[in-house]
Amino acid sequence: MKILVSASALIAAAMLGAGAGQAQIACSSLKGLQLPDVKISDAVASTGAAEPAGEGARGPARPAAVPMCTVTGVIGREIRFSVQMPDAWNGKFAMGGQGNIAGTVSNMAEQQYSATRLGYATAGTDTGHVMEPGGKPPTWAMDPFLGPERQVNFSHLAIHRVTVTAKAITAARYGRQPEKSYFAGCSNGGRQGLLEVQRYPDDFDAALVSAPAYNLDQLLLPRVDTGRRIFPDAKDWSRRNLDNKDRMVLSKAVLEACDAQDGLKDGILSDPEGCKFDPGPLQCKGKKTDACLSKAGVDAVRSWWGGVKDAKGDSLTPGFPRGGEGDNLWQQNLTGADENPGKGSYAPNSGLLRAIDYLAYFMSRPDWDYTKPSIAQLQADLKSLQANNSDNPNLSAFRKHGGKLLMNHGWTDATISAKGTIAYTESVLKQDPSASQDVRLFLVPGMGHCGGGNGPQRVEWLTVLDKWATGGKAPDELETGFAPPATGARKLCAWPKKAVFKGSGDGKSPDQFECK
Amino acid sequence: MNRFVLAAGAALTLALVSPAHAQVACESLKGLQLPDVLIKDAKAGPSPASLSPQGAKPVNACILTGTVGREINFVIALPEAWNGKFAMGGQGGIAGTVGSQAGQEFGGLQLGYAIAGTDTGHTAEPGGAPPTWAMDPFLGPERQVNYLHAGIHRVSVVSKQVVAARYGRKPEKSYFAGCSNGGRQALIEAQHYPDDFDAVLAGAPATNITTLTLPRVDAGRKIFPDPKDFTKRTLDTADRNALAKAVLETCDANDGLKDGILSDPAACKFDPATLACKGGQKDACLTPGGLAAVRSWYGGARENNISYSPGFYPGGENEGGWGGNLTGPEARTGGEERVSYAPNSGLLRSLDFLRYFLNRPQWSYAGPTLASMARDLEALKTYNADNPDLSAFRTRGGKVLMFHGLIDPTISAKGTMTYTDAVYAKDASAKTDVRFFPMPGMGHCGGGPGPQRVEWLNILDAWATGGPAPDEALAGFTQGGGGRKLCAWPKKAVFRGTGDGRSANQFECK
Repeated sequence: MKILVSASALIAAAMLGAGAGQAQIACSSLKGLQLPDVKISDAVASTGAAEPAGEGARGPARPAAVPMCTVTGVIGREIRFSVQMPDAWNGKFAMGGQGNIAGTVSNMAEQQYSATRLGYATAGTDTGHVMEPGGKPPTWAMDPFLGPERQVNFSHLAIHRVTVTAKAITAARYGRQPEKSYFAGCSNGGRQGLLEVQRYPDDFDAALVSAPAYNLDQLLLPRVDTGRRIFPDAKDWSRRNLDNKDRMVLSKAVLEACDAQDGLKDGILSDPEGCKFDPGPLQCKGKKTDACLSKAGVDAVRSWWGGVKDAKGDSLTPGFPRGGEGDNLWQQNLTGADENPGKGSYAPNSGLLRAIDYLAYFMSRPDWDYTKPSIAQLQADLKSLQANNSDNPNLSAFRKHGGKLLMNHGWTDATISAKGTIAYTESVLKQDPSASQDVRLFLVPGMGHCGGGNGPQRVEWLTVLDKWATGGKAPDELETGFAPPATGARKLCAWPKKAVFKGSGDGKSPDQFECK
Repeated sequence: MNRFVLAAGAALTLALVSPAHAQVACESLKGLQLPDVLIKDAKAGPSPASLSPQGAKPVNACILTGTVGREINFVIALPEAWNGKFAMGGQGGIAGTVGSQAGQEFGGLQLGYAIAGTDTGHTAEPGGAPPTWAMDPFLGPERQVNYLHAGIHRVSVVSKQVVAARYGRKPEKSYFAGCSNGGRQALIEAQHYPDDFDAVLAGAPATNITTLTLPRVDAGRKIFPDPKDFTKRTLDTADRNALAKAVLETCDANDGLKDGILSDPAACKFDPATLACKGGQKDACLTPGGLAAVRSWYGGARENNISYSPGFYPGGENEGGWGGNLTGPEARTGGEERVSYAPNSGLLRSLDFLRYFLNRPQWSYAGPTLASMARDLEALKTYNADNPDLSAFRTRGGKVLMFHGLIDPTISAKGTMTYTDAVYAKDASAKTDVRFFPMPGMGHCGGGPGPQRVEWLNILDAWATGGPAPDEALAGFTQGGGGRKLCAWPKKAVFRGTGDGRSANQFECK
């Protein structure tokens, strides 16, 4: 039966597998696997020598690398993927998402959550395009013939196609289907996770969604609105209305005003929504100095925190929580590097530059100028990219087969606002209050975008998800550890509850907090 | 149980015990598990009429239906008496119903081919209503990509695996056969998916969305100047009949045969101004609006000395295709806010792209310049199948066989000539692998008085399995018997001067 299995080795293995029920086949024999529109490039066994931890790893210390089989290949014309299957399989599959606009084969389930070391078969992809080298603009999206397909692949199709292909490869290796399949991703990977549960509800049993970029209006309007207040001249970014000295002034003032509100003066705002600090008093009274903000700088900060308003003054985006202005993430997204490395890098202001990726290159108008259009025009333009949005509050199809959605978002995330994830969660519960059984959101004080910041953020997310999806109760509280060299831990509480410090102790032990 | 490799127990058993070339039972294919493919049904029996040319005998076959991805629906027909080959069929228009021109137009099943077809990933709106499917907020972009190229590719590769599963071996040869949009698909496959097929048959290919769309709008709005009221038109059926008569009087005898067929319409120098209404004349003559429309149609869509399309050959003005594409039926209602294509499918089909594919359902043909429309259509250039570089396809032995009716009023045969010339100009050696047969007196994918019964699939197969590149082809008349010769472009079939014009040997290719 050539169609299903091409190599005779594989046929033999399939026969054996059928007899034994669950036998593994040799890794290299997977090279002969024939699936329609799938080209297997390689299938290589590795012994489990230590590999460097992926950037942004924020689980507990990674367990030792394990012996596994890695299958790489291409789906369709150019959706590249990699499937990793540990020899000691836990019977489950974890698909990993990709950050930003993808473009290299990557896998957040592995990089951030150590999937193979926990025994999962796992997969990643580039979502169907190769990013331009050195952070250059995404001209791949404008290719005359392939552009539309690449955009569809990026928006949703690739992650689905790799998922179903990787499950088939996993089943071929182990002789049976995975018992459970999970998705794990942050940022664009969080968007992919929500998109999967909304649009491909049968692909996964549960999804771990962090800091999801679930709506392009929410993602891009603030970046353009605040970004052009900071960089008003599209041709000259040496001029900026808010610099890194300013943001340190801002950070200090925010902490002075609000840090102690939660009972702990530790640089972490446990409840940033309780912080109402306004930057007005920081405005220079006379000449601009390093100790004060220009009027334009104050306006930029107000637009960032307050959200984007339409012509009538109504809010279009929820704004960003206060806190984290002293973190490098704020510089990356807003003020930019002090040394401008010039074109071909996101360093000058990745918030604005990544907005231009969509508004200029995804829309085939590379000369588009961010300083010109009205907010209404931006909204109208972004309609043509709405297939990227994963803000559908109706999760009934996913929930019907027992699907679980576990979300988290850092409160000091300056890339995607935690308030947006709150708004999405609210919309899900408004659509169907019973969704609270199957949908959980944990906000993480002092955590930036998918990690970073000084808040405790070491949580075994994938294990939490697995316990829940295999019959455990919905998680109400989680323990979250500080990263070394700091020690100790706190509590995370399922939204809308918050971890409140009971008033005594050093804030380094979960029992000093309660969910209220 | 290894659900991936084989779902049904029956199929598994067969896989284990059957020799290399055995067929599996049709119904067991229902259990076939391929990622992102849902097999809905697999039934043995006589093939449905929809998969054969009109009047052809049904063939005993295994008929599978299913879906690739979210909504690319397909049908695969696997005949009991298999010839060992696979023929994928294209879809005309903007597709939207599961069909296979390999079966319907070219009789693939009766020739023993396993055939397949698809709806290319969307369902047509009922009754010819506008294609709002293309504007769906989430699915619109994917549906458009599927229609433009991905749907046909994905069904092709899945079908080949299903064929192999059924017969126990891969098809020896795989062909694509389609006309109109199906011709476009054939060329897209050869240009962009060169590994999918060994040879493709492209009839009347829609090679370029700009040259397809702009003449329809330019002539169409000259005929129907009021987009709100299609009851008013500047060119009616009596006018086009008068036009047909005048064209034939001027040019029919040029080829030595007064038979209503212009063998070489490029040589017909008919000037429609000779039909302009004079002094109060109203019927069977051309009003200024009608004359402008006809000039645009023959001469191409022009504006500010820029030409946007090559124009159409004279001939066939009294055929149904001219009515459907240009003047419309006698009874017409509505305007550009249409409910069906009936009033003027040429103009209305151009709105499918200019409005719905571009997410602007309120757009009107009345105002915009051709230049602005050409700019707008840039967003849909993925449609185009006019890449002259066929090297990847040819490197692995691929053959391209094209034909086009010279009185086709839907897609101009001139475009296919231009494309063929571009392929030859790019690489002169392509002549060994790329052949184009213009067809005098044939309309769009058929129709008209010209001889057009050609065994296209057999010609393609003979070529692709080692035969010489076809220089000539026999074309039978649909009525009255006999046939003529078709000649590979740029040669033309020239009447030798004696006989009734109903025998191939009365013609020579020159």
